[in-house]
Amino acid sequence: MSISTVISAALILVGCALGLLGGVGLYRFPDVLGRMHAATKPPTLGLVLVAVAAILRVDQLAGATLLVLVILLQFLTAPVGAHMVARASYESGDQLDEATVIDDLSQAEPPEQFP
Amino acid sequence: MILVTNLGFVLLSLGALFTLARLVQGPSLADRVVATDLLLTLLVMGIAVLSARTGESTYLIVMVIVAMVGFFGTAMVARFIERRGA
Amino acid sequence: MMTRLLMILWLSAVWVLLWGDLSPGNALAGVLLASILVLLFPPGTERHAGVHPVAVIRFGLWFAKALVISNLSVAREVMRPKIKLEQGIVAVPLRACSPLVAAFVANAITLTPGTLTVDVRPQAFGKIGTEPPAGHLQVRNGVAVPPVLYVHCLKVGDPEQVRADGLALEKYVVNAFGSPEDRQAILQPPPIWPPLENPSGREGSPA
Repeated sequence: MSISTVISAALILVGCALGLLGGVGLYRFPDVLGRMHAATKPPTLGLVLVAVAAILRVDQLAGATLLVLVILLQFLTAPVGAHMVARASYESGDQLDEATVIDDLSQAEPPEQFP
Repeated sequence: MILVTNLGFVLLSLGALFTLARLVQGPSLADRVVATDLLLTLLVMGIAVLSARTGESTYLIVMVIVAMVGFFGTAMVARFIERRGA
Repeated sequence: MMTRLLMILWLSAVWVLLWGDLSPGNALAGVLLASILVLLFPPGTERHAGVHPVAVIRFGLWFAKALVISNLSVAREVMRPKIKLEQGIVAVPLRACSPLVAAFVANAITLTPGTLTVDVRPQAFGKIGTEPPAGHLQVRNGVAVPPVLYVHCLKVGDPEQVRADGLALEKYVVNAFGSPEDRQAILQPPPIWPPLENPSGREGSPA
């Protein structure tokens, strides 16, 4: 058991646990925006960890470069996707949770409509 | 390593099961699109775990395409929700 | 011109990464294809972003630490038997005006402890007749309008703390990537929220 195998095994376990956490959080949180927290941050980090584990184990350089590309893409696109869905759900009037403490966005000027 | 990847697959499947529950139950379209995005992310993780298990890189291009399709689909449905309301 | 060269470099790097093949023929094909694409679809005119490598590394390290901490805190919240959250949307007014900095800060906020950027709007100075044009974070005739980020938090302890954290993040980002105007802009004192009705220097009839 070489050291890279042990490291990649640990990374796979942690990454998949984060993926499970994302699923459970999506199920348990009471509010659309809260669910978005749970469904974007832990799985993104889990994907990065699992991809690093796969980089350590894959034997072709072509595979390693594809994994690097996936890591970059995930970092660039996951927060943008989360933000777009959050904004869309807020604008279309999904009810926020009753326990919401403060809501500054309701007092803001309405957004400009793009054609 | 085989044991660890088996365990990883079990964890991912459990996560996918919870996500499926939210996909069915979610009262709004935003919930469902987030659940779909998470399912695709779990699929990408599964492909990476598979590559780590066997060491061959034949399926990694699928991973890139699924990641991109997941993002584009999420963005497009988000724009749709913003205009039409759901 | 610099933006185009950087775009060509980035696109050829993505091409080479996708094919996984670092032979000269492949790299040349990538550069050729990237040049054709950049000629057909030129990138928009961005302000020149001044990149300081040391600040970029510092931002990257801080970001990695915040990412790990955020995931641990979300994990703790998910695993509680009875979920107890105080959610809220807090307005975080920024000081730097360029869209690049706003995009970076919004993305970094989305990836860090318990916060998610919901919307970004130009700062409305009360009800004054001349509003900035739609979609522009910065007005061309000399009046720059910094954006306001609306950040959704899982646990809102104190809104002022959230705003202070957002401004600290903006300082990291501007030190790493900001243009000279941005670096000048963050030396101002933190903006007050909610904004005054008619701050000094702007004439206009309240509607």
